Amino acid sequence: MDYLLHILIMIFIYTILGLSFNLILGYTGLIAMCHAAFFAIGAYTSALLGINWGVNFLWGILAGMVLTGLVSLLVAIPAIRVRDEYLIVTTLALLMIVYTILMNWIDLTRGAAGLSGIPRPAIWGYKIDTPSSFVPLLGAFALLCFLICWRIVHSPFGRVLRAIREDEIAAESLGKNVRAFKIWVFVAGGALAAIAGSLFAHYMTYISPANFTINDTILIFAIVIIGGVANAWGPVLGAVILVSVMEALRFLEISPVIVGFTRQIAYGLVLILFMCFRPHGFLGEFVTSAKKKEEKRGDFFTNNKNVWASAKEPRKIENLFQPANELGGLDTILRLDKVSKSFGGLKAVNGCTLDIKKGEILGLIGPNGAGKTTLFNVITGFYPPEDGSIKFMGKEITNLPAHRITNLGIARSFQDLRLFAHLTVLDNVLIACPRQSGENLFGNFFRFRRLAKEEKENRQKAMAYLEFVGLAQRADELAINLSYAEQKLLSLARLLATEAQLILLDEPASGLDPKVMEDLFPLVKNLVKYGKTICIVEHNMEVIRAMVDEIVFLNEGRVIARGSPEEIMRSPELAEIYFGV
Amino acid sequence: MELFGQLVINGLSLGSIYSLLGISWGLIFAVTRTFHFAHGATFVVAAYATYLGQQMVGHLILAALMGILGAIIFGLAIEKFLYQYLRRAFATPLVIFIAALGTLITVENFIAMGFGTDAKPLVGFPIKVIKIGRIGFNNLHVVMFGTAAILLVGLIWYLRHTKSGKALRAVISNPEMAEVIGIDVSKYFLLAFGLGSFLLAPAAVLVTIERGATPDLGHWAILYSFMPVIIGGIGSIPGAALAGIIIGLAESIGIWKISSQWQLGIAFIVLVIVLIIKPTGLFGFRVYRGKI
Repeated sequence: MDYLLHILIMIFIYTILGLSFNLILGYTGLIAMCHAAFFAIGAYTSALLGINWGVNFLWGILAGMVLTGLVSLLVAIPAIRVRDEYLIVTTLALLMIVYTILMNWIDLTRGAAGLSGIPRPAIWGYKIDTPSSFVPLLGAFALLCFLICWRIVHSPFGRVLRAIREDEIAAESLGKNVRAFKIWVFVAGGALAAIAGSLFAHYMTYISPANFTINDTILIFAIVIIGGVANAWGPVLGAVILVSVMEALRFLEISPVIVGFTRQIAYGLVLILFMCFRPHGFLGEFVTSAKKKEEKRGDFFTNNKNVWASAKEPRKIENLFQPANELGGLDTILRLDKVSKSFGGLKAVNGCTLDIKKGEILGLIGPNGAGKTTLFNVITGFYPPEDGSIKFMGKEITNLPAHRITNLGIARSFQDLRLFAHLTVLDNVLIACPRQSGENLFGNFFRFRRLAKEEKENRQKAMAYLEFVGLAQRADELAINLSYAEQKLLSLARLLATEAQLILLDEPASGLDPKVMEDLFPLVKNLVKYGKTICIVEHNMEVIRAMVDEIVFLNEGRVIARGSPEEIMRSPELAEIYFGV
Repeated sequence: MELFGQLVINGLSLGSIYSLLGISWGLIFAVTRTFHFAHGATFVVAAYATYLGQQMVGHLILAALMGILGAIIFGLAIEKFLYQYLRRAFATPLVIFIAALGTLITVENFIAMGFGTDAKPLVGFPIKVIKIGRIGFNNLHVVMFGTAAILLVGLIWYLRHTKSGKALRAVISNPEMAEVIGIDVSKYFLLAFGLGSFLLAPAAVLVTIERGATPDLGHWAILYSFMPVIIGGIGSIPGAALAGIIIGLAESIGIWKISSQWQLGIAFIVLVIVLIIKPTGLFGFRVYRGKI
C-alpha cells in the first residue's frame, strides 16, 4: 500500500516539474536544458536550510524559488537578449555547472555522498512523516501548481506566450515586449520547478547529485512531450505514464544498472518517435479546451447581441475609435530626417527625409527595391537606422525597440500577414489590445474581478473590430482556416485593435480580388475620420488612385517626388523609373 | 613564468579540441540551420568505434580510421533518416531539436549498456615529454594542435577553392537562392553532415587517447561544440576555431587560481561576457532573429 502511495507522490512531483516545463517548452517554445538544475537548486536550498537551521519547509520552498528565480535570470537574460537557440547553450552549461557544484563544493553539499537527514515537513506542529500524510500535502501542492499554470496560460499573458511561439515578430509589432515575456515565463517555470525540488528533498530525506543529472531533464522533456505540448493536462498524463512505467521496470528481473540504461533509452526513443509520428503528444493543444471555450463564448456574446447588432451600424465605429484628439498646431505626425539603413553594401534607405501629416492617406510608391518595406521596418523599429532621426508626434523614436514604438501609436501590417496561425481569430485580435493588465504575470493573481471585467471589455472591443471588418461570425475559427482574403481582413482588424494613430499598410491590396477590395477600401478610407493617419505601400495604381491624398515616390532609398496622385502619375520621368523602360 | 608557459601550452592543446568541435558543428549549423544536438552522439560513436577497432585490429591508426568512418556513417544516417524525414514533414526547429536530443540520449545509453560506464582507453600512442627550457609538454599536445591546424586550413581551402566547397558557401549565405541557381540543397546538406562528422572524429580519437572514452562524453562534446560557434559568431569558421582556442586558454589559465573542476564555469563566464558585449560573436556579422 505504501508503495502505491509512493508512486502517487512521485507522480505529483513529476507533474509539478512537467507543468512548469510545459510553460517554457510547450506554450512559449523555448528550449531549456536546465530543468533538472532548477529542481536541484530547490531541493538543496530547502534541504540545507532545514538541516543547518531547522527552517520550516515552507520557508525553504520560498527560498528555493527565489534562488532559482535569480539563477534563471542569470542564464536567460544574456541568451534571450540575442537569440533563443542560445538559451540551449547557456542552460546546458548551467545544468552541468550546478552538477559540478553539487559534486565539488563538499563543505556545503557534501559532494557525491549527498545530503541525508533532511527534516520531514511540519505544518502547525503537525509532522508529516508517513506516505499517507504526504499524499494530501503533495497533492495540494500539485493542484496549486496546476491552478497557477492554468491561470497563467489562460490569461492575457498566456495568450501572448502562444502568440510568441507562433510568430514573435508579429507579437513584437503588436507592442508586446517579446523578450520580457520570455524571460518572465522562464523565471516562473524555474521557480515552480524549485517547489518540486523542495518537496522531493523533504519527502525523500536524502538527496544526492545523482538525482539531478541531464537524464532528469530528459525525463521532464519526455513527460511534456508524451502528454502533449501546450496542453494543460498533458504533463499530468505524461507524469502518470512515465512514473508508472519507471516503477514497473523495477519489477523486472534485471540488474538495476541495466534498468537505468533501459529507462534512458526508452525516454530517448519516446522523444524521437513522438517527434516523428506524433509531435503534439497524446493530447493535442486544443483537445481539452476547444469545446468548452465555444460554449462559454457562445453565451457570452448572445448576451451582448443587441449591443453589437450589425456591422453597418455607424454608432459602433464611433465607440470603437476614440475621436481624433486634437494636438494643437502639430499637424506633422511623423517626421523622418535623413534616415539611412544599409545591408552590407546596399543602401536600402539612403538619407530619406519625409513628413507625414496628421489625418492624411499617404501612398508610398516606387520600383521594386526602392526601400519601401525597409522604410516601414526602420520606422517601426525592426531595423534600427544607422543615421538620421525619426520623430513621432514631436517625440524622438529613432532607437526605440519595436514594441515601444507600437505602444506610442505606430502600427504596421506585413506583406505576408504574419497572423498567429494556430490561435483563434478572436485571440488574434485580442492580443493586439493595448494596456492589458493581465499581461503582467503577477498581476494575474490579484484583483480577479477587475481583470475579468477588463478581459470582458477587451473581448467586446475585439468582437467589434471583427464586425467592423466583417469577420465576427468566424471568431472561434483558427486563423489558419480562413481564406486569404479573410486573413487579410483579420490582419487589418488586428492592426486597428492596437489603437495606433499612424497605420502603415504594406501592400494591402495584393492577392485580393476586386470584389473584396471594393468592400475593404471604403473601410480604410473611413478610418481617417476617426483620427487615424495612414501610409500605404502599394503596387496597384488603381488602388493608389482611389485611396490616397498624396503620393511619395521613392527610388533607391530616397524621396524623389511628392505630390497629388494626378501630378505624380502624369510625370513621364517617374513612369520611366517606375516601369524601368 | 614557467607555470604560465605551461598553462598556455595546455590551453592551446585543449583549445585545439574545442576548435575542432566548434568548426565541425558550426559548419553543419551554418549550412543546414539544424541545431544538431546529436553531434554529441557522433562524438561518442567515433570514440567507441575507435576503441572497438583497436580491440579488433590492434593498430591505432587503423582504429582511428575506423572511428572516422563510423562517425561519417553515423552523421550521414542521422541526416538522411531522421532530419530529412522531419523536414519533409514540415517539422519546426523545436521538433527537430527534441528528436536530436532523443538520439543523443539513446545512443549514449546504448553504448553505456554495451561497454559499461568505465573509461575505455586507447593504447599505442607513445607519449613523450618534450622540454623547451623549463616548459614541459608532450607530443600528444603537438598532435592535437597540428591536427586542428591542418583540418582548419584544409577546410578553409576546400570551401574557397573547390566547386563543391563554393556551392556549400552559397548554401550558407542563402539556401533559397542556391536552390534557384540549380544547387541541389539536400545533397549539400548531406555533404555538410558528412564533412562535419569527419572533422569531429579526430577530436574524439584524441580525447579518447588522452582520457579514455566514456558514454557521457556526448553531452560534454555538444556543449563545447556550441560554445565556440556562439563566441566566434555563427557562420564564421575561422571565428569558431579562434573562439575554441580562446576558451581553451581561458580554462587552462584559469586553473592557475582556481581548481580545475570549475573549468566549465570559466568557459560559461567567457560565453556570457561575449554575449553581453558583442551578441553577434567575435566575428559574426548577423544576428538572425527570424526574417522580417
